[in-house]
Amino acid sequence: SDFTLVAPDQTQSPVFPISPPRTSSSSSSPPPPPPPPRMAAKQPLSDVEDGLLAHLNANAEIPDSRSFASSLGVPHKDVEDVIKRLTAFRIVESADITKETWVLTDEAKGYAARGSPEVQLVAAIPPEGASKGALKERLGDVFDIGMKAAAKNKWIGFEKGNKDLVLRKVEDTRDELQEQLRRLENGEVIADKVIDDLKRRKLVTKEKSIWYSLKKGPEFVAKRKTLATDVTREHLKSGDWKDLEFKDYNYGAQGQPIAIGYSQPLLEVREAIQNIFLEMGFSEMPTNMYVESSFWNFDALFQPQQHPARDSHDTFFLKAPATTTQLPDDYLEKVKQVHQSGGHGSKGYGYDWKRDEAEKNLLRTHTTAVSTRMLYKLAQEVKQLSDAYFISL
Amino acid sequence: CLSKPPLSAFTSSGSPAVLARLPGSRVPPPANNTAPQPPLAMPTVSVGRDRLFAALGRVYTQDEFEALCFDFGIELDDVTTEKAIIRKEKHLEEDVEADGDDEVIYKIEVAANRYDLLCLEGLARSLRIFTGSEATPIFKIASIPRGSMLQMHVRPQTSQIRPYVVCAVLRGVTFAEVRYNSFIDLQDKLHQNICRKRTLVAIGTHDLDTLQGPFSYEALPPQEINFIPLKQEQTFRADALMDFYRSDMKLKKFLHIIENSPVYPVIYDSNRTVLSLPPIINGAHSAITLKTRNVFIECTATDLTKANIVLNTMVAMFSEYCENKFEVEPVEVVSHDGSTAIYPDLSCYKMEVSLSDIVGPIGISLDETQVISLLNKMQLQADLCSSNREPCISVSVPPTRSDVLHARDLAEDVAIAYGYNNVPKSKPKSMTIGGRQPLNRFSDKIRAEVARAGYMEVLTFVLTSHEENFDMLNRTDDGNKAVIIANPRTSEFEVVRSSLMSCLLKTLKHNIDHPRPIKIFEVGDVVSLDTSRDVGASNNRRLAALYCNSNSGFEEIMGLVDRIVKIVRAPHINFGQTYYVPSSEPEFFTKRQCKIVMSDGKQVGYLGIVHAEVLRKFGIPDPCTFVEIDIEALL
Repeated sequence: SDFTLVAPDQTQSPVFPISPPRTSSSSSSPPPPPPPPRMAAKQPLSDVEDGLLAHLNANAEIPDSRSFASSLGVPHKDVEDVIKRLTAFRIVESADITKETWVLTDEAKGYAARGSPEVQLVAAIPPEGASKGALKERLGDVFDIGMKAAAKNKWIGFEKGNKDLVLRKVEDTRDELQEQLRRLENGEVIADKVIDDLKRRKLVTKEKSIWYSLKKGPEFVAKRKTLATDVTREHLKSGDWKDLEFKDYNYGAQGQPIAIGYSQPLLEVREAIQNIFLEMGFSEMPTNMYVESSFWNFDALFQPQQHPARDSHDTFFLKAPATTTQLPDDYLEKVKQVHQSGGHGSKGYGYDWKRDEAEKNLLRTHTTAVSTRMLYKLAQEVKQLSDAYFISL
Repeated sequence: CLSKPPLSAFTSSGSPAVLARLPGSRVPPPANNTAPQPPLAMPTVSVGRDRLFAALGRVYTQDEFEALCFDFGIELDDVTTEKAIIRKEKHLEEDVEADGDDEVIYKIEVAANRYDLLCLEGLARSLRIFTGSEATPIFKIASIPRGSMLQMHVRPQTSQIRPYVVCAVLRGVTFAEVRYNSFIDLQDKLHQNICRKRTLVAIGTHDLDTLQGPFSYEALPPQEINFIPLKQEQTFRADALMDFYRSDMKLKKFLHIIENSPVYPVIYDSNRTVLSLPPIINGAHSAITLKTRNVFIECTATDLTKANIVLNTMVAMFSEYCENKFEVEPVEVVSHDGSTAIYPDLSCYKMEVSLSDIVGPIGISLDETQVISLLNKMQLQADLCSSNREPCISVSVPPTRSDVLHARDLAEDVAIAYGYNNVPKSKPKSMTIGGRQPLNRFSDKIRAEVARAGYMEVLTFVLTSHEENFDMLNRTDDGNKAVIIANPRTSEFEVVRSSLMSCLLKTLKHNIDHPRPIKIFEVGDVVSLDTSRDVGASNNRRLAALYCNSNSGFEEIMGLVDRIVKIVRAPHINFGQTYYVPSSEPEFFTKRQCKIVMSDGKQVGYLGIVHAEVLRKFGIPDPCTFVEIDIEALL
């Protein structure tokens, strides 16, 4: 399997736990989005780490990471991230502490912030009273629940004969529910009876929470050195490079795939062969003529017109352009004579040579057709024949 | 990290368009496997291995035999059995039991003009003479008084359809089944090759004892010819027989030779028994059997030279089985003008050649006696001829070696007998300056530049289907563009490409699963009709590139064009500030295409986002941009 060259940069990336081995393709993916803004004042994780290590150095243990987090004034999540990172490097040893706690439902969170439905209802009733419709419009869902609880508490009343007008019967209301919810939100211990009541009203649910107790690990250091993964422009500019210590590379990793162009391998081979001939003094012949006449392809090569290679099974003849009529007449006559009755030491084939057959066009069946034309051209042009080497590929 | 180069699938199966090839260099494989095998320029002779070794007088290992073949200039093409051949023909699996024999068969490829190697008898004899275990036979014409010689009278009407006939008789032949089969096979091979599927020559062989000479070779209206043809039991009239054979797989392809003629050629004996209706079928009456002792051979022809070669080959091969070995009885052919000729003509062709004309072209130095012994190995009777000042050799070319026409043919045989591998290597004696074709050098520079730009080079077939070249590109054929093949073997190879576009789109389609972007290119020739050239068509060297991704990549292709323009821009290649001019071609999206023009207004290329319809026809799901440039114009 291929690993990334370096593990993710711990000084920069807040992503933990340490990612599993990643493929090179995923390592090229964009960096993860920045963490969402937090309620508490932002404190860099390195500060959290420093504080935690300093505390451990002084006190040997941290029994409760949650209270440690509140002592630093940072969210527990930040401390948790740091703990996981340090545990991975065996700088600290952590033990899980799990506890089931009651947490507020979304509905209850609203009450904790804005008050219980009954208090909201009472607060909304003006001294002269208000119609149910107007209150409902103003309070929405809270209205029905508020009406029920407020009536039970006898905080509201109705005018005789007009059941629609709601009257406020108390001046000051103490919001016990909001208080309970806020206490629960802050992690305070609440009486079971109250919890049962909240549970019935579907304002709390049970949730498992986890935190840690910590002590020094075998690799404990009071201050952790941060290792660099790469040399950046900033390092060079600032002079930081002098103090850089690098994280180990994984040389077993594969490099990044690169976009590359290729030559066709067969053409590479062609070039190699061509070079041999060029080095020996051969000249290239022009081969860019796929359409050829039977005359130059066969007849001029002393290939008889009934040769099986000239059969339609072995040669592509053409519908368009079907024939070549421009052939050198004097040379054509010589070719005809040699086929029919011989000459130049040959006895010939002894058959009736036909011009029609020679005029038939075809797709050049071999580059020897190129040689034929070249020989004819040489004979026409060269007065004194000297050695010449030709190659066609 | 090149162990898995991208687009390696370009060479995998399923892609027919991989290698560039010169058109017509070999017939592309027929799409339909059941199509009959075309006769090849190099015929293959199938002989039983054990019978061949018996005829050679020794047993060879396959390697030894292959070495012998190589030395003699033939090739052991395949080793198989009759069973395997039948299995292959019927497309049977390995484990299915097929009919046929388990005898090992050697398929041997021989030169197309060596008709004497087309049967076991001739092949074995040539190899025995080559290895020195036998002398070249001397064929004799039986001396028969002129008056008692068999006669064949030629009627004048034959000149309308098939003017020549030559004949011979083999006496006292002993046929065993294998010999008989070989005799029939040789006729088939000759019919296929030199006889050009019976158009030039057709062979008829008959049991002479069932016939009564003299014979007559006539040409009659088909209605007047009635006989029982070979393998039939009833009498047919010739015209009805032609209709009858229209459904005969073997014979129907010969009917065209005579069917439109008012007269059909026919051979009778003196009792008006039909010997044959050449070149279609023999009569049943005179059919050869294993018991036949005296064989009458007639060859009717439109080419007398070839008729003689065919007749000579037949008698030279099978006179081996005559009572008087290598003796042939002649037949007198009496022409309608009264002239007569006696066949077969087994005389040797005499040549006198200087020693230097033989050894010079080979590049070896041998003396006359060495050359003579090498010629003798190749069945060429040679002797010193002292008349000239220069060392000279007289050669008698036997009737079996009709391929020898010229001193160069003797030099070739001497080189074979000497052994090509024994010819010493030497350096050229003269100094020449090599050089490349400017267009090819330029093409290579362009190829390298485009490869450097990250494109992968492909090689595609020069031939394509008409549909791919036109319809599938939304283009129409006005009849003035493409070179069209008259006898295409498959619908995939009907025209010579007039653009590289379909080739690259096809290649892309076959590699569509490759990671994006796919960037391919080809530098190659297209051909179009051109009346200014003697042959009526001309090549044009093109560069084509194709970009395929989830977006069109138009600007990528423009970047490539800009690069090409930049490197070729020179004092004599003038491109203006802008060289893209909007175009409206059907193969591209409207408003997403342009021409590439030089400052003189000459168009040298075009590019565009390939039209959705074109992509659909080629089965490509992603957008592509294509460019094609005439690089000859940039040279």
